[in-house]
Amino acid sequence: MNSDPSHPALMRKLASEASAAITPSGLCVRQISAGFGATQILKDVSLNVATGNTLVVLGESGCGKTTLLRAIAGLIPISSGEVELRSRMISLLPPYDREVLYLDQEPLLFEHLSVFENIAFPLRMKKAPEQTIQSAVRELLVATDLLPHAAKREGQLSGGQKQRVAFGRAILARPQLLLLDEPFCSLDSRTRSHMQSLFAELSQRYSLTSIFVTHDVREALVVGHQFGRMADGVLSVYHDRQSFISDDATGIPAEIAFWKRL
Amino acid sequence: MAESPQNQSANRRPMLFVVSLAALLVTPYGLLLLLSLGSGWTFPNLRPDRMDFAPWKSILADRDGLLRAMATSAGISLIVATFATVMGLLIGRSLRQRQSPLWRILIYLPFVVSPVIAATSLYDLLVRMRLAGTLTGVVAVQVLFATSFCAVISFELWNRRTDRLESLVRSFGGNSVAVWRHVILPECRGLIGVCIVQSALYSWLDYGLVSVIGGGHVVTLTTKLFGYIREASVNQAAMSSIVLMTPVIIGLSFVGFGTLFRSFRSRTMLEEP
Repeated sequence: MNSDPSHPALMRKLASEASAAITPSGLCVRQISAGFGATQILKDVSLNVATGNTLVVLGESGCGKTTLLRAIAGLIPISSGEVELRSRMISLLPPYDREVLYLDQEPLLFEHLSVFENIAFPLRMKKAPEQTIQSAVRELLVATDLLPHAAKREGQLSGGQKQRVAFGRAILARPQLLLLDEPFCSLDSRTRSHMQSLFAELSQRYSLTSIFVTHDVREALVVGHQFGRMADGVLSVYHDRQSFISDDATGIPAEIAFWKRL
Repeated sequence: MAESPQNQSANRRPMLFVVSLAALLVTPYGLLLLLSLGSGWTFPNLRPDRMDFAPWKSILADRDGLLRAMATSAGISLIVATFATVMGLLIGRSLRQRQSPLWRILIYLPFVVSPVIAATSLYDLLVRMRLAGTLTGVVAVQVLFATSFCAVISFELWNRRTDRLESLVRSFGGNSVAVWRHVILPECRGLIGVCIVQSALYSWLDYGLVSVIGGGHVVTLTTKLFGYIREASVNQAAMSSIVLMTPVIIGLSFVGFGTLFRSFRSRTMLEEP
């Protein structure tokens, strides 16, 4: 792959080639642009994510990764283009009607509810039977190692535990699309590694469709099925894992060379 | 290691501050209590010549209508606090959603308008509506002002966290009731408490609006107090002052203890494993 990200024609070609190879029933973003006032941050971004896959978007700070997620979630308006999720056009819907969940670095929990009730929240909103709630939440508490902390409140949890609660709750909500904006960046390396494996495992178990934004290449390789790189508001999507690994712009070849030199 | 004299002095300062503050708060009450219990206090005696509970017994017997005035004041305060808090929350929330700078300026308007002048301007309208000289008229005008103060507090209490939580509840399928139950009430309960206490005290202590709108037909504790002062009835003025000030102390203590409790609880929660 050409490593020059500033060539829009090449980027569009790569994006359309990548989308052609993917099941159409997942997420399909077509040439969306968004920005603040006169400043255009996203420029004709197109991407496709197959159902049950995770698209990892790599990029430096300020390149437009968060704007891309917020535009898909409907938290900021798009100036052009469209977003289709499972054959349903969602571009004009309000955020809460899109069945899209956005998780960012700062986990958002209800401080008046316990860990158990925080995770159970989406099921309570859907008025699920009590027995279903108890078993589903218990299963997730076990999967996320939070069972001993089930009765605790937000103020009694560490950053990693809060992130697991937010993540567990998002899984129980069964969104059609999960958007994760550098969710583990504030965690220590051990917890981060655990959370990455946990995400990969639960993502597979619950067949989650997601976009995962990060600037950590290792994290990208652990959690991703599809790969993209963003620079200056332009997204380039890679054909496969190998082309992502071999692209100089991702920094992976330089990292491999560094470790080989030691 | 022994503490330096400077450190010892610094450690004593907070205690000195607390004692001075307590003395400042308690002394007027002590004086009022003496004035309410005593009679025949002649110069240069340090205490009244006679002290008994006769003036307080007359309150309980309601010979002078003070008990009824207290009940009226309490009733008006409760109604004003309830209406003003609910309406202030709704107005503050709606203005926050509009994000209009003009409205943001306009809600601060009651801070620059004197309630008595506004009440005088409204008086003609209230006469036409047959509300002048009635309890309903007094409550309506007090609610108007207390609501605007609550709206200012409520406008400022919405922040990015409450916006994000609201969006989260809605994305989980929650309706407006769920938003109020799981976001607004738990996140803003402290400030809702402040709104209730503030508007109840505003109404409880109000004299200007009651005298202009009530026109002598609505008798509250403050109008009674001013009557006693005019008549130079020292005992009764002191008693009604004590009764008038007690809810203020209780209200402020409620807010103060609430703040202390929250800070203690968050510290305890952080310390727990």
